[in-house]
Amino acid sequence: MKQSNFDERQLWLRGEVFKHSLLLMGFLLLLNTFLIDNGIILVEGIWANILIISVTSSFANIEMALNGAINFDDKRMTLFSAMMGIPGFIVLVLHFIEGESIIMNNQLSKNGAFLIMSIFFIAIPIAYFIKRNQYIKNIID
Amino acid sequence: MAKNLRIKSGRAALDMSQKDLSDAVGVSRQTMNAIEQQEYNPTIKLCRAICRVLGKTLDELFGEETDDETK
Repeated sequence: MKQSNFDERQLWLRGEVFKHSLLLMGFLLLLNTFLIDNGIILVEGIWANILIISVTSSFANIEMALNGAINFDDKRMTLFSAMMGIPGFIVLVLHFIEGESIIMNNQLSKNGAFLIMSIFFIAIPIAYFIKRNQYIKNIID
Repeated sequence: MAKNLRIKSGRAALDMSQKDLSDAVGVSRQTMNAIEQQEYNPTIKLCRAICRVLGKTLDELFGEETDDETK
């Protein structure tokens, strides 16, 4: 059997994070369905579902970093977290260069959805590096 | 917040840092810190591993605290 890279506390925390993410995703999907059913469309076209998936997965990564469910000594995790922020940063920069409207027809446009996704993706490495710096500062006891 | 000072004093007696102890028992330093801060209750398996490394009994490290220790 493959040995896990995470210890018992981290595995437990990750389980909690997945539970919270599942609940959040379910709640957001139900809310979106309820609003659509009542004629209120928050996000243009199919982008509402993509936005919900992105927000939930970002939320899971941020919660894992903040709870210390990640091995801060593992260089792959540092690389992974940094990589998660890069597409978010690129989308954010492109948004400000193109300057397209985020609201169209009283709905969040595709660009608006991408803007929110990019902010969440940028928050992942920020949360990771803040907690990692705290970890490095406290390493001498 | 209450702290498990017995683990800290146990590893201090062996001149071990939190990192040394966590490496010896195979957990992350964050987890060892959480155990010492009493933010996480380890499984019996992990408790026994810590006791083995520090050369203490389960009761000595994780037994019920006396009034003096909790102050």
